[in-house]
Amino acid sequence: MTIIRLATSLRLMLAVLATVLAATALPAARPAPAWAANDTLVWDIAAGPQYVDPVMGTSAQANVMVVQNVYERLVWYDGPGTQPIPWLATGWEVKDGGRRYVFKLRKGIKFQDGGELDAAAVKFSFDRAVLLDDPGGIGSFFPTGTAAPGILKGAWEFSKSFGAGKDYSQAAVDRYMAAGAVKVIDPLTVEFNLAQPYGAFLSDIATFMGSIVSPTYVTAHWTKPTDPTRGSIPGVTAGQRDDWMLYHASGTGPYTLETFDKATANVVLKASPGYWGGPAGKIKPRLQTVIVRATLDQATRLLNLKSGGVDIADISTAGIFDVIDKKKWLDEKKIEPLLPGVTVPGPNPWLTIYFAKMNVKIKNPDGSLAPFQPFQDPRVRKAFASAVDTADIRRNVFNGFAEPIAWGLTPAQFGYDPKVKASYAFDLAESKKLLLEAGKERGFGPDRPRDLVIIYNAAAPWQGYIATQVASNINGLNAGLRLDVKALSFTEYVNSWRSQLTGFSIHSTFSLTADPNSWLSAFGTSAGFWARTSSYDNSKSDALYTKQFQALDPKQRAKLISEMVQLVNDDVMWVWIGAATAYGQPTFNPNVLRASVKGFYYNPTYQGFYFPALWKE
Amino acid sequence: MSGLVAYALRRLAYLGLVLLGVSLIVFLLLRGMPGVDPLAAYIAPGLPMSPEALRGLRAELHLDDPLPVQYVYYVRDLLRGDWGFSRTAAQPVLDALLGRLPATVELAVVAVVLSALLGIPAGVVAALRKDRPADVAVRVVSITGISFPVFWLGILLQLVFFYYLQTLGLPSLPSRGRVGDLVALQYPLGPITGFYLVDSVLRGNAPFLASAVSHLVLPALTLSLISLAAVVRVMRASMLEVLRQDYILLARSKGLPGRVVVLRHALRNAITPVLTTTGTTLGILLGGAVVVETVFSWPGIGRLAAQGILNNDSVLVVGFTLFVATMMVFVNLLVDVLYAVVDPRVRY
Repeated sequence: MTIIRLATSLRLMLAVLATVLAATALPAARPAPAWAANDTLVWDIAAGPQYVDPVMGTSAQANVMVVQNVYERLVWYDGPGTQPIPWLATGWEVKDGGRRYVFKLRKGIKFQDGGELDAAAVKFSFDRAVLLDDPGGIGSFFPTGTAAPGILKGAWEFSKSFGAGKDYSQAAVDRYMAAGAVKVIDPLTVEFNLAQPYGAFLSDIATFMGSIVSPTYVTAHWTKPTDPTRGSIPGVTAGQRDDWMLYHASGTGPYTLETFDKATANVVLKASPGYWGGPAGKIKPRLQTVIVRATLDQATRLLNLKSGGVDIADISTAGIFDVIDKKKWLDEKKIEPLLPGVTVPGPNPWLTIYFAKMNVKIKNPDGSLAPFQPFQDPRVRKAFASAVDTADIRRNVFNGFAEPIAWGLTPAQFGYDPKVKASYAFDLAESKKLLLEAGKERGFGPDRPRDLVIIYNAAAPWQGYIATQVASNINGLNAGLRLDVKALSFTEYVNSWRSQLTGFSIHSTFSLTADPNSWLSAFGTSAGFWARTSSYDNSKSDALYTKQFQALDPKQRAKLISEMVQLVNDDVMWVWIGAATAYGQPTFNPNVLRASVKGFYYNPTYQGFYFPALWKE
Repeated sequence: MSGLVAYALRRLAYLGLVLLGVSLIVFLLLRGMPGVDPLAAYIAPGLPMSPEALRGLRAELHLDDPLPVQYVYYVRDLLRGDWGFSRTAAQPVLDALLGRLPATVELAVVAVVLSALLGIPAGVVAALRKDRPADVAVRVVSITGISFPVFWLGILLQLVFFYYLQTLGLPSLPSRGRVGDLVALQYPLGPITGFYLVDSVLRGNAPFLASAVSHLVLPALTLSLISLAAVVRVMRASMLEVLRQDYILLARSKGLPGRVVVLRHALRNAITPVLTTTGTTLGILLGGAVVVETVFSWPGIGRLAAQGILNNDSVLVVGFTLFVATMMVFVNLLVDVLYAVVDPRVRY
């Protein structure tokens, strides 16, 4: 009897629980979700934005996605074009052999807070970028290092992150302001004074870092520093990030930032009611609300896409065969969606490349040089490059979403030259011949083998595949080098190649701009990021780099780039594995769209979608 | 009671030592790996920082000092609330964790309540029907539940209660997030405590409350299955033990109704170990919700940690470890003290 009563009460409890579950399900029950409304777009993104202040450097493309819809720049891109056109400016003049750029501004454009766009706002925006001096900020775009010491006048002397700056005192701020990098000529004319000619100036200020912010909005939320050693101008504290502007925005763009939830990294954009319409006056956002939701798990994103609950979903190339027919793609290069009502536009050239680098100065952990330096011999470098089956990697690691490249530029970039010759090809016999030749002088051979270690990031299995392939191929040659593959934690991995403890490592990198300048510097100049960590030094290449960025004529610049690229290529420091291709308009991941989303076009300079172009049917 | 206070104070003193030990382990993970320059943990790998800027950062972090000196600086910074800066959250680590803590606590508490609501009755039934089909069924279900990988179970629940139901045009549960996106826009909730259930009740925001509850169901149910098996097994074992006691026999012989014997005499005494289990589980769930929060895009500290791992943000991951360890230590203390309060026989 007791048990029966108890069981009855338990059944009651369970019934109550079931009712609660059912009741809570009801509010979510929507046969046609509210976001199916044609003026609302929902995008499940793999990694949401972290902050949206355009002067903060970032490796999170989602940040740029918000910035490019909320803010605008003096010049930008029309549709799928990659050549900047006048945007907030009506035009520009280049003077003094490329040292002076004078921009005329459009009249009557207002910021979302009601302020007027004028020359003072442009000056404020660029001075703010320099004075905040974020370590990943504008300095990385306005080239630095011994090959190109600063572009905006006075910025090199001020910047602690990129230049020769020593402090952020008021005196340092005053010195920068007095240098006259950006001058207001009249309310609608602004002048940029450069320390030297710079061919990529226009494409650099077309990036998110050239965004024009509302000075009244920024200043209204700024507090003057109390620290007497910290310099400032109204609205900007030198060397200090602006906590308000990290998560709030006021630009002139087609969308306003309605909400930014730091915890979820979700953002909501609303069509800006007073938007001026762009250069031709025809841009009128049809999507009134854009909801970007950070959804880390790919399975959840896929489910939401399949259910029609979202309009766009990030789907990585590793998971793309849940969406498209694998055989058709790999064998026939045809993208055929498996899911009804889903489109996979592309593939298109992206701004991401995969490569391996070789280090000519392998060091011991104490910083001294290791006794065995095989990569100082160009034959060894070429032998390693010839042992990498890049076609196999592109197919099996990147699922076919990568194209062969002869140098570290993608077809989406200015200066990409298909005529540049590769200095190696996958050829194991050639690799063996080269190793045997080099071994005679470098002290290794089949009878006296030497050991080498190849490292990879354990959290990146694609690197493991490549490392294993290289080791297996080289070991199979029996040419006197015995390679061991080690998977390292990320910190150990970064430390290993950054501190030059390893000879051969595998990487990927992406660019936020279609201009090749930052990559040319990174791979081809002794002060460049990747070259520095490989001890690559070729004075001819350094000289060509400086010449190309000072060249204002695009044809001449392209010629110099090709020359530089071929020169570095012949040194065989880098193994170019492939240039990533993308479907959709990628941020960190490529993405796929519901067929109801219309108006999409691809532009490699965008980071994520430019929403005014899209609508839903 | 004074004994209890003395005990609590003594435990608090030990806590300091435990936390110091935890901080030492965490510090060594971050700075003490042989052959690894600890600066690598503090910079984005592709960030083109100049050698001068790198030298500045090294000096700022005292990385050129001997390890013991670095540790002193590290502990000093921890005590000041400076746990480093997270590249993933673009915030100081402690701010990022504290800002997301309410979401995790809310989820963990609801999951624990769910596992207690399901586990205690199931454990009692299993004990009362020992070795009979109901007992076997309860044990099989609870063990099976805990044996499934949590991410798989989460995706399965999403598939059934979100995708299939929605495809069939039936009422469904949300697959992700803490509240509906449009609900949050139409019925914004001014935060008070950060706990959506509490805040929406305090604000009288019914649509927000309904949306928050519906969003809680699937992740909480998934998470509750982690602890359900433990609750069922402890409840069953404890109940069996109590049912064998003389006072239960006495109660029955006095002619008390079976329901009173079970609920008032047996259950009250048998439930104490479950309290300990539940408390410990709460601590585990607070730190162990990484997978569930990731699958359901739940904006708590677990998802943040998962993002940190994906972004190779060592400073954040190490901060998360320290944070969770600290929470575990405090939850354990709380459980021990509560144990003594609930069961007066317990003396320390």
